[in-house]
Amino acid sequence: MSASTDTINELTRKGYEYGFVTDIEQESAPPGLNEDTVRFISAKKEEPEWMLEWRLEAYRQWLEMASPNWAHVNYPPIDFQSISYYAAPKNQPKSLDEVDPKLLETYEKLGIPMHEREMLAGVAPEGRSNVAVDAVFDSVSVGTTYKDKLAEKGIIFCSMSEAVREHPELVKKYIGSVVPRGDNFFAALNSAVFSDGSFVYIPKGTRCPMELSTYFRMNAGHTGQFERTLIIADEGAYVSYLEGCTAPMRDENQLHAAVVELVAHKDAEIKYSTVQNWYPGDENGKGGIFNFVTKRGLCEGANSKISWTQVETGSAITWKYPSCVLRGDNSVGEFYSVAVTRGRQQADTGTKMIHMGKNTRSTIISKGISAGHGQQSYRGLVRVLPAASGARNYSQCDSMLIGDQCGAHTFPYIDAQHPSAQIEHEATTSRISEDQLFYCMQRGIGAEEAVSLIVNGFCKDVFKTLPMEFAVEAQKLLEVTLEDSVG
Amino acid sequence: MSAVVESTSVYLQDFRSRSVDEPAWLAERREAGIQAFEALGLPHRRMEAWRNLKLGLLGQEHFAAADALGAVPMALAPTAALVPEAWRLVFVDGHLSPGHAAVDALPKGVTVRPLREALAQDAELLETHLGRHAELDAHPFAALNSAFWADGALIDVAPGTVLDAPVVLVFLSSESSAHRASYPRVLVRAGESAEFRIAQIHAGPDNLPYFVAPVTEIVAEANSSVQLHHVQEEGDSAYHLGLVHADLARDARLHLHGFNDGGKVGRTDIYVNLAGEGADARLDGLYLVGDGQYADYHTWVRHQSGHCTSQQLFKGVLSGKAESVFDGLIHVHKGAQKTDSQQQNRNLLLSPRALTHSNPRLEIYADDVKCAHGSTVGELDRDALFYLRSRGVGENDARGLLTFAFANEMLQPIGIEALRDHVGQRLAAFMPGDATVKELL
Repeated sequence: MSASTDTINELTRKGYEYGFVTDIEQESAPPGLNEDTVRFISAKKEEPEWMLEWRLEAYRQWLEMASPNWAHVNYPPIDFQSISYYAAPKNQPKSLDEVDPKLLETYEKLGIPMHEREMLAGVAPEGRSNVAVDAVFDSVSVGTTYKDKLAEKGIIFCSMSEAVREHPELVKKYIGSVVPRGDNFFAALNSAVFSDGSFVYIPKGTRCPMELSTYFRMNAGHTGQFERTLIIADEGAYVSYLEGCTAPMRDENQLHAAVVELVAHKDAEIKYSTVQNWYPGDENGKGGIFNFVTKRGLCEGANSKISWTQVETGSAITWKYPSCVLRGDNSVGEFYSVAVTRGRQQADTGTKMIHMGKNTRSTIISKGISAGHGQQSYRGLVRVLPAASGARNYSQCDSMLIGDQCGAHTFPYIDAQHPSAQIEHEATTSRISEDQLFYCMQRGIGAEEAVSLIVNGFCKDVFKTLPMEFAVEAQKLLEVTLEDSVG
Repeated sequence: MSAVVESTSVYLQDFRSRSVDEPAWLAERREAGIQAFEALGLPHRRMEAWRNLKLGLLGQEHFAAADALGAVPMALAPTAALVPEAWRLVFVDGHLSPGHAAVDALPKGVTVRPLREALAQDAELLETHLGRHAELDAHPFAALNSAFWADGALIDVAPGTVLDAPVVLVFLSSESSAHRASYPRVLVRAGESAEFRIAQIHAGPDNLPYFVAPVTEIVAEANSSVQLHHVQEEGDSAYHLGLVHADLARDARLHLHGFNDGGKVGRTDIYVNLAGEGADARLDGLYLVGDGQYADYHTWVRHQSGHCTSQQLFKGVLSGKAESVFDGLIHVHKGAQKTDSQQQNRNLLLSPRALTHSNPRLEIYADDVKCAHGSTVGELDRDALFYLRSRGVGENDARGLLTFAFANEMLQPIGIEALRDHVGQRLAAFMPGDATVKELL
């Protein structure tokens, strides 16, 4: 049953099709981190004084903090002085039409449509429709599509840098309100040096007419990406947001430390989907992205809902826990995750559901697939505070092991302080049984297809929560990732 | 922090100021114990496995080891005599109470002996096993026990011997144990194919702050079967922080049943190493946690060989401002294929102020395994309550009946009848409802 090493090696080499580098003139900050670096970034982005102060305060907090080591992952210590904290294409465009064609080509190659007109005319190259894209290239956003169309409805969809300049009152009010500056080591680092990310504001009672999406691309070497995303759904609003990411293949480990904050007011709903496909490193674990991310949503008002869906196939190390703080009464938090580790990948991921309001509900479905030498952990917290009467949680974490060199671990934390809370946690660990394979093959389905079929069935609960295009992409990604790993 | 540093050095000073005449190997192991404690210090919030424990008095005051045999408190005389038909050793404040011992007429090949005596008579066995199994690097109080134990018991059952009566070890604290610590130590060796039952009972007087840190080591050789009933009913101001460690060889079977109903702070860490193929471990536990109490079970089940099985089922009932922790680990080592392991934790909250922590953990490094765990937290079923009330059962009695139904599952596995009755009575005293209902049970 165990995968042959040769095929796995072959696969890890060929399996990453986004590993190219875009040859473009770039400028970057010299490596190193000090207050001047923070000032440099802030100046580059033409930020107001309060933003700089906010960053510096975060930087000072970060200096006092120690790098956490509790996660079930192993990696050499990161030298924060050898990273460049800012990199951007040299020619900054004023509008979409002026964007360097090389960049557009890059996104075209990645399958991200950046041409509004073509899309509207219905000749979209990738067959995608109605997705507004904010494309982030290293430390800056290179373009945002459909901005005007969205503005008609009062929706703000732009890069974070632009939001700081154009909508300071909103940024000032919400930034750091869900993930405070000193929340954790990497969040503090991000707060000090964050570059670009998306800013979304959906006004009262508005249903966002199209999917919003950000595509993160790391291109330059020796850099880190520190994106910051803030999504606010005002009363009764609805938005579905997608996030995708890739990076070139490099022998070095690159740090990606993002912070994502979501705020859902009364009756609002935010759906946040991620397909994370950073470069995972080669078969010996050389290179790859360290994906250390803080994502948190606040269900601020009554009846609000935040739903996280993530498909994690990339990164050398994934370390993230998209969380929901359920403050409003009757608010709902959801977390659906498929995580795949193969080669030497490691993942320590899961979620936190903090029940504060009455009758709050949360659902956690986590599917982990571990192959090769992959190590995977689910770590989750369900906390019910004394005021959360009628809180309800259901968690299910299933792991599938492929090969005898990998590991799958589950560390759920349940802290309940209200008797009317109902919390259930279930976890199972299994592998693809020979019976299942035999059954499929006996009916004429090849071994590879059979595995893909079984794995897709295993992940179905999560895939069905993804928006259509993403679900298709995720399934394909999974097929490529696990190709040849059983047989 | 300075308090922690101080109290650490206090224990080291205690250690240095003892005058003892003991074999070199034992002195070495005691030294290793105090060194392990020095390295760890008293637990604090930033130690993952100890983050929920509030040390309270234990962190502020110096609990010096009790140096003399105390008297059995009147109220605890029945506890000392629990399970009449057993072989028995009774210890008070960590020292043997010779008047209560009943170890005559033991079958051939069976040793039940105080450790002090065993040091002279079974020196070789002790040197091989005592302090060689329990892990001190994660448990500061087990480390203290290794450094300071005064007495305890050796149970050694020769290969092929089956005991029909249980062995009962009772560890009591006396009225004069205030601000004193005792460190009971137990070593159990089951020879090949031996079978027996043990009850280890801890109790003490109420309203008295004392500290008990027992360590039990079990060596189960091939195909042996050991049942250990670990009962913790310390007084309501006591600190009980203990450890049980079992090493299981091929086809060995361990059934450990824990019952935690006492102490201000009560915690037992259970380490089980399934080292030989076909070994089986079954861990059960019931914790009844009342107002102001803290109860904690940590389990560390390591599947080191293939074809082993383990089941864990821990149930807790919390009332008043109670706090409980269940933190269980199933660790399947690389190559431990065909492991079958289950772990369940169920918590019943009877009060809005009760707080429960449940961390069922899996660490799996082999692919052909069946592992599952589950955890639930909830209150009494409202429909069931309504059903009982609609049939004329008062609310309190109905709650009592349903609590009993929840906990009763954990009484059934107790393999010593007299002990099962005793635990049943403790449960009846804990649960809501009046005496007439309790008599029905």
